[in-house]
Amino acid sequence: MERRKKNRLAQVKESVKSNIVESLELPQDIFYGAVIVTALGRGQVLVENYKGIIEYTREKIRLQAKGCQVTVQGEQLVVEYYTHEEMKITGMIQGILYDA
Amino acid sequence: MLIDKLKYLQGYVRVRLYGYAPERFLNLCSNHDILIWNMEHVEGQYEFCISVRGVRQLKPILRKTRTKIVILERIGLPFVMRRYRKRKVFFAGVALCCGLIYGMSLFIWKIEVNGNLHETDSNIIKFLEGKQVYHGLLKSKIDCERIEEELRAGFEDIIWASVKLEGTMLIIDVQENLAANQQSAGREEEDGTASDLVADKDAVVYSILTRQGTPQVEKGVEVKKGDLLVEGKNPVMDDNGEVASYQYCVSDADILGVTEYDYNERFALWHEVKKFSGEESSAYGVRLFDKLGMLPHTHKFSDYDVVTDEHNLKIGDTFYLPLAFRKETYKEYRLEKEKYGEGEAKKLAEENLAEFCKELAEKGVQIIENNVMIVTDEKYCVASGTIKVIEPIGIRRATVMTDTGQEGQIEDESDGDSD
Repeated sequence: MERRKKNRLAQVKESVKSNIVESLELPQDIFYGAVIVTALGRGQVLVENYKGIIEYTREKIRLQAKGCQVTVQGEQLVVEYYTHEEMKITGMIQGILYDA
Repeated sequence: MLIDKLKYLQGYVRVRLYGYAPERFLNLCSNHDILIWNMEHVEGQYEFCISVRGVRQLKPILRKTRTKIVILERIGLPFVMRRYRKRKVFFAGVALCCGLIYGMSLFIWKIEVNGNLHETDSNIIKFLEGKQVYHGLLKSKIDCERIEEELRAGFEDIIWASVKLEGTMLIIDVQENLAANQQSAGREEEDGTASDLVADKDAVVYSILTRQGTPQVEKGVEVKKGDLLVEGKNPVMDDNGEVASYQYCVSDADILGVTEYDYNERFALWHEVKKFSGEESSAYGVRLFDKLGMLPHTHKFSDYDVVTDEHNLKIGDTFYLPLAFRKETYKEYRLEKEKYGEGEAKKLAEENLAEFCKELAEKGVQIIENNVMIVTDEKYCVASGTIKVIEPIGIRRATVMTDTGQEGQIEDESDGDSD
């Protein structure tokens, strides 16, 4: 009973937040912490707003973001740099996948 | 690019990471704001670059994630300095070099003069030396505006001067007054009192157009040097047709006259020609400040030309150093006597004549007749004759004031009437 109440409260809270964000056209990356993936040509991907690295090999880089995981697949992938907020990946990019 | 240079200055290392949870290590690094770049996955292990300061913060993270790092490469200035820390003389040399370059940059090592046509560079530089502006002067002692003023005051034909400092070079741009010079001189005279125009050479008047004054000659009249052409006074007649007084004015007229120029040129058919033997000998030297030091050098040429090349050392475009390398090349020649052929001599004489005519034409003279004969005999080639031209004649001369004529005179007359 107690748990259901809490769940509902969370749902209401979420819907109010999304209503405000959408009606005021606020940036979603700040309010939802949504991940930003910028792909520049074939050779460069910039990932912002990620949480951490899960897996890193030459062929695959898996990153944890809020609500999903982002996988960059390719060949000879190199992390040019990464900080708390963003990561720049270079190499031959073959795909960007999102999984839950 | 700039970031790369900064990283090099601060120093960084390339390390290999292995152990139990390398991914966790990487996440912890980003949470602790330790920058990692150029990360690669090599044989199941990670290789990346990390700053020296970052490495010092790694210890707790390494323990927490049970990983280890191996330093593969040390890159950057701090490591280079450490490697050469015992070479004190080398560092002293670097410091001395920097100091010297800085010291040298405080002085003027080259003065460049642009835009001068009449005055030579060395003339202007010599003038400036007299005004305490010379090679090797402290830059801080240079007052560009004062130099500009002195240049304008010291040279009459320099009407505009701009002085600027660039690196160790003092650049002087000047503008000389060329054609306008004569005009302004003429105008200065016009500002003065009444004047006549008189012939400056023997001529036949070709045309005369008077704007002010009384013309004394007309077209076709032969005039001698000094003859009056236009008088700077206009007679005022009284009722009897007699001259009552004169109005004085600055006479102004365009007078063209036909004049003759004598042309005489004679040159010997035998003449000396420089024949370079192809033998060359070079002497080398160094000029430091004003001192010139030449390496010992001997040559046994009796007649020779010297070609001097001086190469000034400079850093960049404008930072001249007081050091120059000098090369003097001695080129031997022999004087040989040669004789012009008849055609050759004639051609040369014609060329000289054409040059003379060209010079005349540049003065604004129109050539109408050319009676020059070129005769070549055994020894000499002679070109002689006259060239008839139309040119402006007339120079200014102060008008002679006659007793009758001033305004005072008119008053005298009125006094006479009342008597």
